[in-house]
Amino acid sequence: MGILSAIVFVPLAGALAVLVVPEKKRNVIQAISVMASLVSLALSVWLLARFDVSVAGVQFAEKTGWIPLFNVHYFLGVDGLSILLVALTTLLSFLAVVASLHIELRIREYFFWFLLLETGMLGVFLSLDFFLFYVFWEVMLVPMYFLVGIWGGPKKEYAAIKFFLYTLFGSVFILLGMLGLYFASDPHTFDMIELAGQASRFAFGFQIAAFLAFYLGFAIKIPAFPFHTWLPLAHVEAPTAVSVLLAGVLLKMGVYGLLRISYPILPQATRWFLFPLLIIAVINIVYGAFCAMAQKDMKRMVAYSSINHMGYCLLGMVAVAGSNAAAGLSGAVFQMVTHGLITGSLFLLVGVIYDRAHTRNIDDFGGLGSRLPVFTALMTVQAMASLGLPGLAGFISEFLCFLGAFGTAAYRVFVVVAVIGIVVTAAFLLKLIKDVFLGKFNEKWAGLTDMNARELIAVVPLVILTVYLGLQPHVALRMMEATVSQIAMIFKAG
Amino acid sequence: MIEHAWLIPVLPLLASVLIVFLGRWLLLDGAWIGILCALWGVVQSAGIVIGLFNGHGLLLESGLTGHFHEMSFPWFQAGFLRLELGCLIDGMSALMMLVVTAVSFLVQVYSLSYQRGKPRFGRYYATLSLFTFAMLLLVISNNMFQFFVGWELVGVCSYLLIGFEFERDAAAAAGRKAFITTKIGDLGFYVGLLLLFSSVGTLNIPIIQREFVSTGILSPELCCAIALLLFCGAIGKSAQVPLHVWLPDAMEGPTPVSALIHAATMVAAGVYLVARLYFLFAVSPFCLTVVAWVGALTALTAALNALVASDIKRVLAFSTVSQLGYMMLSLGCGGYRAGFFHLTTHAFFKALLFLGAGSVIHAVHTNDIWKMGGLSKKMPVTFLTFGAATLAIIGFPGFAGFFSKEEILASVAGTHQTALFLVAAFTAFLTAFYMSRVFFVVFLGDPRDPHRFAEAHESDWLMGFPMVVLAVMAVLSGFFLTYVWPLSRWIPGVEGHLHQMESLVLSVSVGALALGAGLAYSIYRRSVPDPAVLAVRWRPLDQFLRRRFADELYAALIEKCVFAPARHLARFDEEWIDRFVVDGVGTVSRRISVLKAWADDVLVDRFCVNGWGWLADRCGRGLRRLQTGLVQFYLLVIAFGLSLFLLWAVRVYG
Repeated sequence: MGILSAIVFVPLAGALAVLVVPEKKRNVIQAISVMASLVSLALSVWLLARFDVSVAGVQFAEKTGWIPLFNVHYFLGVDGLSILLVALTTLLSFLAVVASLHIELRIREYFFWFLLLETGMLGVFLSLDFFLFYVFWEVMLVPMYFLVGIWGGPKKEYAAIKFFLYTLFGSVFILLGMLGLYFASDPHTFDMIELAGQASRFAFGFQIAAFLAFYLGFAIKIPAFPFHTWLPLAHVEAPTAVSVLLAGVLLKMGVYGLLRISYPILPQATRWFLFPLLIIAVINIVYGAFCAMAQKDMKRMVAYSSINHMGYCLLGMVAVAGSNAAAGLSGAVFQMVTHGLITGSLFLLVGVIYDRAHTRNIDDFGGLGSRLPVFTALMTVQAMASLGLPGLAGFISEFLCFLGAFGTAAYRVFVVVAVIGIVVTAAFLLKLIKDVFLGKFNEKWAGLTDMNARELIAVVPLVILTVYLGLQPHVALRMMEATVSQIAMIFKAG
Repeated sequence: MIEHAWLIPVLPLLASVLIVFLGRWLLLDGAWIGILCALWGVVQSAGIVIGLFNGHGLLLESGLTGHFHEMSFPWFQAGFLRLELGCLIDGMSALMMLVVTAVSFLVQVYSLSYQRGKPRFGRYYATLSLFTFAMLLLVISNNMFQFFVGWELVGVCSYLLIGFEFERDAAAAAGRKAFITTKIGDLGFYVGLLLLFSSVGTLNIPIIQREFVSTGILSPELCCAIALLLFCGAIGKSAQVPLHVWLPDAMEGPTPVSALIHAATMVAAGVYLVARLYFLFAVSPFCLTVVAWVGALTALTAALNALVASDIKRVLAFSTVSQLGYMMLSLGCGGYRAGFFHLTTHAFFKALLFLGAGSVIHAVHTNDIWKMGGLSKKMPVTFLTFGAATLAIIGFPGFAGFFSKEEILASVAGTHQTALFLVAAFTAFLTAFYMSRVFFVVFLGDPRDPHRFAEAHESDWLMGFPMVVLAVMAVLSGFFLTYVWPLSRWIPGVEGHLHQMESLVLSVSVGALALGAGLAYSIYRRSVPDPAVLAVRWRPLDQFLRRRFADELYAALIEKCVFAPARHLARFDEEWIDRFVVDGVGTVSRRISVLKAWADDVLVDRFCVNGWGWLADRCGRGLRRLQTGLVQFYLLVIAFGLSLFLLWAVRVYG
């Protein structure tokens, strides 16, 4: 078994192991879960170390036949697009498991679904066979449904079913597009690399139809306006750790899907769709920021800020046909990573205060800064990262996205409109800080304690990485450079 | 020495990190680390300045920025975007570094006493050091990206420091206001940066100047667009109209912080930006005119506001805005060196004014000048140093402000734009008036509040020492930089027309000074009027001067253009997109499924399927009646049937 299979299936093994442990042995269940996610994390760190940054194509490939009749393969591989997302997924999964250690209710099931979810997510990022990709894509849905529906907030059933149906609705179109590609290719194949090689074979009309089908599926995941409304709801109802994965990993699958599938396989349709994509990006950025501004619930606010931040990814992707294509694409991929780190930690931090105060309403707090210095400091740093302060990771990725889109002269006006989103983002994050941490201390919260060890272990690594990648962004950027230039080449030639 | 110039910004950064992580175990929470690092910066930048002046250690390359020494390290690369961290040392950046480190050092020493016993002492020093680092980072920068990084960090540090006493709502709000207001200007900077990079493919300042601007590859229109976009950032940072509203509120921060913000960091950054990229601005006359008029308007309106303010720090804050406008005016009139000169001298006397104000506030525990008076007897050191600073800012001959202000007036006169010159002269008059007013009311006359007066005392030497040092600078720096080490030797600028104007400029500046100070003397010195009476007598004027039109406008605009749309969009999102469309689709499909279920149940199952069963059942029931068991009946039926058949056969075959 190869390293990639190990990364994907170690969590699954953990999930199955958890099932045979009696519910009463909490420690054993927790230990297995921590170990499973930790091993997967360690393996992905090893992968990161062994990854050859000069290779644009797929590395560590594993390919064996699976359903020969339909030419379906078990095909895993990693390249510059996916390597960081795999590392991000294993890291956030591990930290989310740590952050879930205080869960009491039905913990055996909880960790089973959680680890199954991790396998699903990793499978999506590592599959290079479309059929396999689709299987993992669907595998991911079920655990998410139960995790929100059982361990969620007051409106959990509604949120869970909405998430499930909405995403399922999108994946039907992905399935259609996938079958379309299969029958249009010759010989019929689900192999993404081969499909990309046959890109010139697909007629323009067919490309557009397929692109729109995929886009519908991916846009729901991103989430791109107007398919975003499931997100605030799901975040508010989901337990903290699930929110972390939802924002940190699941949202990336939409952008990843576009970059992995739509861009290389359907380049003509992509080019045709760039302008609408630009408009959607600008709407996501500005509209998301304004909506976040009006929120009172911290989780809802961070959820809307995710819509705003994923808009930056789209903006970077629009750059692909312009003169700053490589910068824009790097920005988009890097933005996925930094958003995962920053927003993941913000959800963890909101969870910290919610566990203590049982409210997330901004107006209920005030002056916490004088009583909870550590919590305040971490939250401030991550909020600053989220609003794009230089020296922290968010700034670089955001700048690259803007720079990329600015490379096409016709897009400049829209980029300038999108820039407004930056100041609105700053405004609502500072409002959050002011209302919660500054001002007179609200004596109602005299009993609140600062963060405990479990919470610090979950949050601090993300903060350190946010600072580190802000100062040393090339550590991440060089990983994707070769692959990103290869994608840019497709569009330069066409 | 010059080779290791990077140490100057790096040391304060190090100090900041050390204080944050180790401070609690160190003497004075580690404040001394910050002070020592700043002191090192003073020594090293002084060495560089001396070296530059003597012509040592320079790589001779000529350009608009003069001779410079550049070094850089690659930072990161994405596509063809190569970014570097670098130092660009020339007369301007070296002198600016000296000013920044010196003021920072003195403010930190002063704070040892001023902030003693206040909460979060360590964090205060850590942020001060970070602030110093950020400012030095942009001052020393050889590229616009690093400049922007420093620029934004300066912004966030001022946010943290203005809102340092965050338990007070006013402080928290002021910090946020400063951050957001300057951030609005920064949007222009951001777009300017994008445009600059997209046009020339590099952000290195000397390369842009040498290869793109002076060769004319970058068209004047594009130069102008980039320069004006970047200038938006300067408008925010240097508190120019229309983004000046944050600076008067910024006095909510601890007073030493105000001294730092108003003198050497933050607000200086905007003026420095224009001076640093002057080659870009100078390409287009239109661009310079915009700069000049923004500066002139700022100088005038802020001076008018300062006339009636009764909070000592607020007067000084308005005065900073006004003086910054003066510098911009000068830059816009081609007085590139004059503007920078005034930035330097202003840093010293404005820092001193704030430290002096802090000393007074420390002594009498109020900001209101009408509760002070006669303090010269109680606080001789503060009185003398504050007096020196006042003379400097109003441009008393021989004091620092005199030389720089005169150069500014000369450069404005040189453009032959009468309106601008009149504004400049009138502002000089207003400055002389309101600064003299504060000085007379606070230090001279009889004490207005005997109780506070009785408690007042001179500050200790930790606060006195920085004030004395700054007083020496406020007296001497102008003379020094004009005659001993003339700025013209290391900062090239436009010469020539200045000297022809000398007599006009001299008479105007001295006249404005005499008029302003004399008027203030006649009003405030002898009679010590009751401010309430004055306010009533001059009611319309007083109310006009007190109003801050921009603040009122923005408050309305923010509600109308930000909060209201935000609420509407959020409602639209929740009610229309989510509830109406998405849930609507769900509801409609559920309705359809109910309909289908009904159809299935009623039409298909009950009507069609069960219908057959029912029919069969009914038929069976009907037919059962025939099953009577009487043979005679059966025979009758058979006979009947047979006869019918025969009848039919006869009809057909017969």
